[in-house]
Amino acid sequence: MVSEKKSLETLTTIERINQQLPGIDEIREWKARGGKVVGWLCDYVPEELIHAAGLLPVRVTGVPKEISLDDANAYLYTTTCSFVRTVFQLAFEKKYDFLDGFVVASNCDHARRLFDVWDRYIPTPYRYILSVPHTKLPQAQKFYERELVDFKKSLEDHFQVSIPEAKIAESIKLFNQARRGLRTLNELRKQDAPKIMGAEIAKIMNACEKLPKEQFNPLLESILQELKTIDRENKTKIRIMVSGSVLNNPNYIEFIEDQGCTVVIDDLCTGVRYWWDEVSEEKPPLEALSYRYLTRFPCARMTPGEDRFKQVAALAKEYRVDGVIQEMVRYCTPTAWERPWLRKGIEDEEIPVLQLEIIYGAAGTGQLKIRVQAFIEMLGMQSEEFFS
Amino acid sequence: MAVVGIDVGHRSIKMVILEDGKILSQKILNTAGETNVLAKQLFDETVAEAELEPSRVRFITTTGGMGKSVAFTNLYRTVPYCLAKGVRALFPQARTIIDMGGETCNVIKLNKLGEIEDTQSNDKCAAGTGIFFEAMAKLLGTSLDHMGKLATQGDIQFEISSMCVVFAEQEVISHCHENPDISAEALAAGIHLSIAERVAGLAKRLGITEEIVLTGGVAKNMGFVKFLSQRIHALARVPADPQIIAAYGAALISQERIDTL
Amino acid sequence: MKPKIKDIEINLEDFNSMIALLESILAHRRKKPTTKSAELFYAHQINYYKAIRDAKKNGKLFVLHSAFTPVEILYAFDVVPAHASFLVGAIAQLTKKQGEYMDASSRFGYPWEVCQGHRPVVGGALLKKAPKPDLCISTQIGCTNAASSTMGLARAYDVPIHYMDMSYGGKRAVDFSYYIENLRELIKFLEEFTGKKFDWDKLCEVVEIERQIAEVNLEIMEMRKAVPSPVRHRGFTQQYSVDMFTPGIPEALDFFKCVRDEIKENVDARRGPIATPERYRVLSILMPPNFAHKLLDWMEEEHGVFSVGEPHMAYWPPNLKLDPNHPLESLANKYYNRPMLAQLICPAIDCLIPDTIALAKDYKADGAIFYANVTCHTSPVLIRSLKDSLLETAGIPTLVLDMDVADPNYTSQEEMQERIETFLDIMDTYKDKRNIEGRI
Repeated sequence: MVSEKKSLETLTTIERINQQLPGIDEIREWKARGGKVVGWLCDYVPEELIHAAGLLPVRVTGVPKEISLDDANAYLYTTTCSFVRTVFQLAFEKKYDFLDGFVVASNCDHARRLFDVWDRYIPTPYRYILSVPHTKLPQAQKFYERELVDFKKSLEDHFQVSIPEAKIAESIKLFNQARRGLRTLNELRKQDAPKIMGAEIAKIMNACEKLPKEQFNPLLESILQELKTIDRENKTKIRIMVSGSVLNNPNYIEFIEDQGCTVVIDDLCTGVRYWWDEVSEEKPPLEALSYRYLTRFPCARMTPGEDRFKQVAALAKEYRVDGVIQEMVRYCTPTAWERPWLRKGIEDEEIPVLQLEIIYGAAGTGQLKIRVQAFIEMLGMQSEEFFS
Repeated sequence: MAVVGIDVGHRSIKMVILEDGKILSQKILNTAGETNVLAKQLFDETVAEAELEPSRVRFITTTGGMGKSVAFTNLYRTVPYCLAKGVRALFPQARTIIDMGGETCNVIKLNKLGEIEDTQSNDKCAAGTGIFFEAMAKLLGTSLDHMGKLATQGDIQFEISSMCVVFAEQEVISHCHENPDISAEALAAGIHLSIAERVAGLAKRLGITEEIVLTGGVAKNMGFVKFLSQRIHALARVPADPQIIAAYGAALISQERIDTL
Repeated sequence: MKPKIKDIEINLEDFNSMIALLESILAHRRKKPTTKSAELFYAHQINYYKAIRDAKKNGKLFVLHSAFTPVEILYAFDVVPAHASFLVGAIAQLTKKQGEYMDASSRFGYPWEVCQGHRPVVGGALLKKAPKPDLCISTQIGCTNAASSTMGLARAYDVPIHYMDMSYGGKRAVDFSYYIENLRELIKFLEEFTGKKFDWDKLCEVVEIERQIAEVNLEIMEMRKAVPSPVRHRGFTQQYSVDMFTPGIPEALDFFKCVRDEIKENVDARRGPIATPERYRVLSILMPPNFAHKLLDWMEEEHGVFSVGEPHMAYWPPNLKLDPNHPLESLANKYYNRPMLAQLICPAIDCLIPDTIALAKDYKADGAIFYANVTCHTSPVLIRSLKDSLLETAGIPTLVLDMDVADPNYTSQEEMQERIETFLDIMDTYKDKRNIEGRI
């Protein structure tokens, strides 16, 4: 359990960042130096283009707790996904006033409408929506590449910068470095008694998605170094994967782990799906970006869904997971429609599934505790140890 | 010459008699039965008690969820319309009415002339209505009035996240289990704050402009009024008899009708 | 809840009872006629379902498709198309077994988030009561629910499925060309699947009839500007269905011509469709559920409230260009411009909001009523934006009626009537304001 563990020294900065979300020190400093910040929603927005324009790409998310959504309910709707409502509420409360731009990928109904409403009511100077195809077919890739060309031009026009291919190539290298670092970090979780907990990973991801990569990469390197040498005990035996959409509240993961397990891997857009695939450094940059972003580890919106179910189940097996917690943020439509089928896909691989629903940002509750404890107990009884 | 306004709700019937523009009599009857019959009964009783000749009643306007089922009325007008009339007569600067009745909570926005600009109600859930408060009072084993008083004395130790009565009851019970020493005051305070938040949220959807007036049975709960005022950062005014305002407004409408004849 | 699919035989009892029910409604309509177009509408529905029922018998493939799939292409392959959510939804609703179909979906593991309008589709497949297609086509139209319900059915029935993509954006040249690429992909796929060559002549024929349908509808749109409004609300739901489910067939053209003629009669005589005189003109936003028809009837009969514009339904924008010599371009043009698709596939600022404001002005609306389906995650979220825009630009107020498409008791009839009656007062308030301030 995290609370009993020795703290990682190198996580101090990460901890501080998580406390300050969304307006962290580094963003303030960036702006103080005259830098501009472009917020993005959804992993289908190619950060490298924003970075190559000399702008700081920052993922727009909530804060690690549930907040009151009065205004969001008034300007959106009570059954709009709680993630989108939280983001809007924060923007409405001026917590995202530091954004010079806001880019949304046309990922799902809620994101598209968030863009519409934000466009009308939040005066961020630059607002853009990217159209993303639902398939990986050649014509889809061509379409998406055209979208990126338009997006690039739009950034150049508004921010009065030029984004030459060489710069994009550089940004790609930098972001790939981060992806490789995160892969190395996550490989460590394959070990039997992982030295790093899921809650800590969630905190690292929060920092990664807000910091300039130039600062994140060395920070991650230092964490990897510390993990090499540090002696950390992990007495939990049960290995869990958390699958879902947006889940970046470390307190929630910690709550799950406190019931007696380790979250060793995830299938989340704020987690694995963010870094899983690298961008080719061989292809021409825009083509490489278009290919990678469209064909990466798929989320629930992509068709055919079967590709995704297979990939999630394969990942669970790769990490020797005892059980999968399939989490859904209310009221996520893509997750809702794939829910029984993804479950089936995982259970067909003989891995038990626990399904949970959560209001975005919420921490653990009494009810959650009972359900997770029961699940872990059941997994414990099914594991070899019990029978040996 | 007298006129009458009757507000026929699902759980109670309210009646106001005006004579020469002043309230001659007002009465509330809790219903459990055939509405039309009970409304007539109330009418007969109230008129008799006021020592009024029934023939002197020149016009009857009804309102309320069950108002259309009253056979002996001259006119039916909607509750918001009657509330607007009644509230503006008492509070000429009123711009926002929050009506908290037995089963619904309605927010009504008025323009400077007192005309209705917009309304918003909680169609589905009972939070913020009489039923909800009654259920909570029962749970706490106290009366409605007393619970309101307790709320003003308690400190906030929890909040109810659920919007629906049934789940909210469960949450309160589980709070009691988790914290057996929790005082009745703290429980009441938590309950009242949560409802005030819901109602404030509803009002926010329309935008809150002062003056704000609370009507309906729930407005008699001083504890709730206090929490709501805090939550909307404005003083909510409460008429002396918040339950009869729609009936009063209906009576005023009756008066207008005979004045123009 | 473990998702399991029972291995049972397909049972078309419900489907057949629905057809029987419709036939009895039609017979009743013929005995006590309301309008000729209403009769044609029921005949149209019955023919649609019978074609599905008799597909195998007639040696035709039966293709189940999601909303706004280009049915014109399917006609050119001579297959029998069926609109997934409409077909299964109608079966569930008309046999009054909605609860059962919804339940089956829920027990399988579909959570509440799933749009109630689409939930019965997979339920119908799990119960093996929905007709089993030879092929499913799922089109991404900017509403996750529409595309996904067909996917669920295909999986439950284990039938092949083809995915057609549409890009979000809606009115750009790149969207149209992407759509045409997807159409070619669909044609190629169907040629392989059916073993038939694509009949371009047939497609051109279909597009030509659709062009005529568009012309007739533009006439209707023009006539609807008349004061008093010459048509009842029931008309617009019927019009919406006929073109959406069977575009480009002669029956549909006849139906619209009939509607046009009925409207023309009223316009020429300067009268409304019923005895009650018109007192208020409103826009209807989104789609009132079927059980709300009684409420709309009451609005018309009791208070003279008539719907003069429906941006999500019976709205034919003047820029619709259909040319049988360029069939694929025509389809792109049509599907990106016609409601309800246009309102889903396009940012609100480019489509829904300006279209609604234009309707408010051109049709002299006094107010708008938003039929908010609480399980819809695409449209009610724009309520505030639309409300504010209509107020600021057109000076008209909006009433929001929260409803659950699957649960008629979500909001009581009486409460909704009260809200509508209050709204009449509100419309009066704003009418006075507009007269003074001179907007619209």
